[in-house]
Amino acid sequence: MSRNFKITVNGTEYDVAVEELTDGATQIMPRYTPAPVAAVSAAPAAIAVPKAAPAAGGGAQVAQMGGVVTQILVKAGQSVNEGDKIAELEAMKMKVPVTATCSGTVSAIHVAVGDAVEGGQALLTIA
Amino acid sequence: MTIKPELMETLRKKRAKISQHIAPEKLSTMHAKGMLSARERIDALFDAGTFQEVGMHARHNAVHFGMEGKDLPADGVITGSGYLGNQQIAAFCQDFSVMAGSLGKMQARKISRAMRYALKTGIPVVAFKDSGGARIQEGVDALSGYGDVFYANVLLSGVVPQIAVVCGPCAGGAAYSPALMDFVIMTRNNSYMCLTGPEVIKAVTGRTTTMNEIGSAEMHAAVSGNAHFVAEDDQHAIDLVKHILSYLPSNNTEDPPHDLSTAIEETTDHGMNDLIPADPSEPLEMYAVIRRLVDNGELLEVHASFARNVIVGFARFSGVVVGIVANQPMVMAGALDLNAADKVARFVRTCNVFNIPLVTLVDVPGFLPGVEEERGGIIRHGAKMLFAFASCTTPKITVILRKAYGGSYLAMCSQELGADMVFAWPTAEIAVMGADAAVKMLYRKDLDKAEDRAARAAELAQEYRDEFASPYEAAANFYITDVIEPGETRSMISLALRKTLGKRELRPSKKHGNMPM
Repeated sequence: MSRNFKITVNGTEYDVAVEELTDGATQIMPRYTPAPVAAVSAAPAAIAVPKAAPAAGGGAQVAQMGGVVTQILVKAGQSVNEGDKIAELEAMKMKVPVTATCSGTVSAIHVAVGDAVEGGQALLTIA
Repeated sequence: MTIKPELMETLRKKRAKISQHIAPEKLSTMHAKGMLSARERIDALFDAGTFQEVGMHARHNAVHFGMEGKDLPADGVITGSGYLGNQQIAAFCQDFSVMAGSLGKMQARKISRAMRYALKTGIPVVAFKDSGGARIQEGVDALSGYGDVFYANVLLSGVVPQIAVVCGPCAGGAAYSPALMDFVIMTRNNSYMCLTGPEVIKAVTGRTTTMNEIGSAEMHAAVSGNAHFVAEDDQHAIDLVKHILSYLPSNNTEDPPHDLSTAIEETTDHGMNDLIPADPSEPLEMYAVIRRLVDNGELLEVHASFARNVIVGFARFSGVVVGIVANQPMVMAGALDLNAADKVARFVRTCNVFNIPLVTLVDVPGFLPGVEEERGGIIRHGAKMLFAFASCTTPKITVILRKAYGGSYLAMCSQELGADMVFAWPTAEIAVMGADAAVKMLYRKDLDKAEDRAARAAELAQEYRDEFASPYEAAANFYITDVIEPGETRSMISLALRKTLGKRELRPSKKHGNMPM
């Protein structure tokens, strides 16, 4: 983009063309901005919620911390999907959701509402 | 005068022999597994035509065990530097197709040389680890080589970013080099890392185990915490490297790549209110909050599968690069435990060395009570968090969303630990302990006299909650900057960051603080 100016120096007139350089023109290479990768994409919904460590013993659903069982939301024989909320504990005055770490059928429930459980204790089994 | 053609021919032949030593069928097998050759990794990392190799013709000096005269292209490692945009990066890649990428003295010299080049030019190092281990034919020379690499890792630590990509085996002493670097990426199916393999474990302890159990990427990402990222394959790992580097400065004397031309919008995000459960015992989904706060909802989460009761990672607030530290009440009620403390402390120190401001989002019921926790040294581990936050001199902005109780309130970068600004939502509960426990201690006599003890306790607890478990007691005592609407959080943080970017803090001169380990 060049613009023309008329400049007078010591009584002499000069016609000058002035070209404006953009900031980018002085930069040799732009800073690298990577394309979003699979782990985190540009869409706001894309903050991937990481999965829990695979539970020991296949389908055993364990308490992530010690607490009291306040709800069991599934029955033996019921089929569940990975990520479904299957039970709830109360610990540290907070409700702690227990979600299925795998899909399958509930084969056994090992605890009852009101039971105190320890961290790592099996609550139910999904086969 | 022209150069003799045979001299040029010799050079061309040598170059071709060194760079094209993998048979095409072998290469396609590797590609099928999601692996690239060492040279392909280097090519995928750098902008075309910017890589300059250092020491292509370097050769080992080993003579024992049939090593004399053995031709090993580039001695099993490609080293050099190139550009990503206008940022120069030093890189080295072990070449598994050359004697299993085994490390001898010459390979170690090449690696150390590349690292010292990065140190003197102030540029990040990317290290591809793909090696069967020490080149035992070279004996103690190989061992010494590892020592040289570790020493260089430590020299560079805190000066330039170091990223390890474990894309093959990394066993024995070799595993300590990634552990000394800032970030470790492992590829999901092709990499493993361990000090001693299943056979040695079986021989020494009698216990049968598998490589999956002791060294897989998933195990290190979720259980041991040795890996910060899991990549699906080599190409994904390289994309992750670039993504990490887009948040980091080239070295500790520079600022991270903030984009200060971004305008700070003064808007209220009313949708934020919908994320807050009415019942204080109902957990809040912290990912949803972060997504609404940061630019484009983009968070590069570090240690995503490890200690999921806290969330750490890189993001931007109106162009300013930040490290986010947040409790995750959906996991273990957001309580802080041994691993969470380690994860936070490490991340905060990483941010501090690279001048990255911290944004801390607090919703924490406390440190996790328990026999295992106490015996596991939660005091020592929790102290790392205190130490890391207090010694961090970058801008520190803290937002208390809901719970902030006792020691965990302090450990989540309270004003006392050096936060420059502390905002609290109206839902914040800042107190020394929960209402029920506090009432039992404070009103013991009152409760003993009460006719209906439980009813009186509930009444007192409610009074206590109204009075003390709110942001206003802390605000009245000037421990927080301001109480803000949840919808104002993004613009408040953006403004606060912009204002504190020029912060300078002088500390007493010392070799280094003595951080609990």
